[in-house]
Amino acid sequence: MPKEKNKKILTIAIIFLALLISVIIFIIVNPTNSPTITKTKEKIFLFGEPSDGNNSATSTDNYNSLNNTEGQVAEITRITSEPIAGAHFVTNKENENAVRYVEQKTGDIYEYSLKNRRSERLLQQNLLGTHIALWTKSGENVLLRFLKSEEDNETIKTYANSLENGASGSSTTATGKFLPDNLQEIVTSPIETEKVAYLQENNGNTFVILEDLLNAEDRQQIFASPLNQWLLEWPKEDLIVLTTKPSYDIEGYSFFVNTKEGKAEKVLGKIKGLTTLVSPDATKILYARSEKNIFSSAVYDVKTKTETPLGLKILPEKCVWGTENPNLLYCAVSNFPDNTVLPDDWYKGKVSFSDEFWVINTETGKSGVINKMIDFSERGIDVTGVSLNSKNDYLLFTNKKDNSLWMLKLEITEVAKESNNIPINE
Amino acid sequence: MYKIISKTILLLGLIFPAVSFAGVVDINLSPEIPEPNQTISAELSGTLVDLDSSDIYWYLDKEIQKHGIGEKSFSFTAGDVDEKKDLEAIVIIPDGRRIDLQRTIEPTNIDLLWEANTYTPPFYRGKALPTYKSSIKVLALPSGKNINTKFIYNWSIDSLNNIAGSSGYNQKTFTTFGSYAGYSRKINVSMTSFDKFIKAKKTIKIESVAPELVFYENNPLMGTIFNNALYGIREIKSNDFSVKAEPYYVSRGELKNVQYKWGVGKDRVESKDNKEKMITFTKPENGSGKVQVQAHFKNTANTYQEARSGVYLSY
Repeated sequence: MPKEKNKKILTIAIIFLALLISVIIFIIVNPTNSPTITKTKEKIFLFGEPSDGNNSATSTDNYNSLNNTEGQVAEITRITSEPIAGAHFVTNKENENAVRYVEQKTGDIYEYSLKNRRSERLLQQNLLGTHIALWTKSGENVLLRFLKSEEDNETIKTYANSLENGASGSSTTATGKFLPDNLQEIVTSPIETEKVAYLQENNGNTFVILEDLLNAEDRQQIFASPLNQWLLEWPKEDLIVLTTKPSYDIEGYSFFVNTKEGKAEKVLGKIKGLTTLVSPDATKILYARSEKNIFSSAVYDVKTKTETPLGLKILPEKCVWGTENPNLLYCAVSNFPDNTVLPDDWYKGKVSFSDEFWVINTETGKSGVINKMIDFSERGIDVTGVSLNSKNDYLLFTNKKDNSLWMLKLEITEVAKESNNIPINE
Repeated sequence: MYKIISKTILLLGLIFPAVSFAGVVDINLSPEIPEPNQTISAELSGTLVDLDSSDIYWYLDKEIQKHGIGEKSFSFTAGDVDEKKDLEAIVIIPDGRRIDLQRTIEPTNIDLLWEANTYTPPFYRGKALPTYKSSIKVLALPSGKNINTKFIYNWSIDSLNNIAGSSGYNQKTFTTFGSYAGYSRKINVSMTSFDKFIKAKKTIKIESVAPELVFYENNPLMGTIFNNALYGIREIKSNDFSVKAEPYYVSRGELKNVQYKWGVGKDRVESKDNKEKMITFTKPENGSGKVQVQAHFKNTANTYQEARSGVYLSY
């Protein structure tokens, strides 16, 4: 009898122990379990339960909306299901908020009105296979990047298209010019000038060139490097960031280059798989580290040279810094195994994610889910090309799975609210 | 009390200058050329002096750190880039004479950045990785205040000594070649200023990878869709579906030597001179099914640069 009793106690103890281990494993493995960030428990934007099949998308004039169970229009919009090459928020000639985008199949330029939720073609180009379209801040110039021919995989062409808006109701015309062939990287100015910065290779060296699209004479070389493989960022007027092209488990470096003096300063280095996103005031850098069995992201403070781990797996290219409140980061976050070969396999298109949007307050450390992505095709949204409008109440992004264009309405969140009284650059 | 004694010793040093024992006792640092924030071991050596019986004081930036009979060694951490630290040892030998020894440590850092001259498709944002015999350029970049200073560089690779022609004044880049896939090259550089006051050295390992073949859809309107690779099973909707092979990490200068062999199902697809990067599969008029498309590429000038891959097209 006592033996049976002991057996019972032992069985209960084993079950209890197994449960305890499961709970501990869950807490450790749970990707949203952050040691440094206090999450807000509620989802800040709720638009009902995920679709049961009845909440299907309705497509009218190139946009879709998603209805929630109460029949209200949800805050996520697919602007176009056609693949796009690049998009940008603008204030159009009617002085309304709009989105301009370039269709990948044709190079045609469209404008989507946030007011009447319709897209209108501004310019027909018939430029097949436009891979990348980069807009200047004003939305008046767009750089179209494509290959000379599909057989000639080597020659990248860059055409700078300058849109000329007539009065309201009249048609848009354009003039343009080609920039040099084979520019490996190009970025547009963060302020309302029509300047671009690009990498131009010559005799084994690479030069960072600033050029005014409206004035070909205004062209200056600001930096030279014997290495060619750099990624560019242009966070503020007098600062360009050069980061070595990243690869899993290989050390990367980031340099700040002053556009006036051309002086370079190392800001981050020896970080494996380094990818970055510099804040608009260049005081903070969101960066990711990707090495054997470790993927982590952190915010680096340029002045204090300290970093704050985020506890979320974030690829900086899936984020945008707030401009109204520069402490806020809006990021598309996925859960993936630590041994995923990032960012290489994502760039190659060998892995794909289903993201949800988070807002992270880098000052208070709080973060919260903005919205779970629900794709109408139920394949999820692999976010890329994120941007914010000037009021910071709309997010624009592309689904890398099919290059469709999406927009998310933002409202004041608990996370954002708490930082409203916090001075910037305290 | 301890501090008072140590300061008194320093003061006495001013009144009674130390005996010149140049070369008799030395401070040896390990490593001799420290990196920023690296732990340094300092050790006294001298055969003509009985250091084991001597009273030894160690100072760092004029602050006493360690004291005792026979305390011949002392460890400390180097400063950050360009941060000077003055190390001083005072040795009182048994007959009462004093020996002063000083070293200044000012770490200079060199970063070694590198890139391989291998192929990646247009608009690819990742690093081109080295493969067997592919060219690799290494750049030595001093940090801090010396970032623009010109130095004398000495480069060496694996166990070989200085590479003549690549070493010398302002020779801050060095070109080498990739090892076999999975193996590393060890690149060493030492950097010295003209006055020999600034010295730094660094070693990195660069591991080569195997080339990779990745398939993409080529769409007649959109061109190659680099965003999404084709792998596993891919359902096709159009009648014609073009598959393009991208030979990641082949030596860029040898792309013209790359040959492709294609197979669809059990059939080999003949192509002119085996130069076709792309094939088009046409759906049978009736029915549905699944077919495997396979490709193999090889750099005929460097047969170690080859890869193969396959994808199922479902229709």
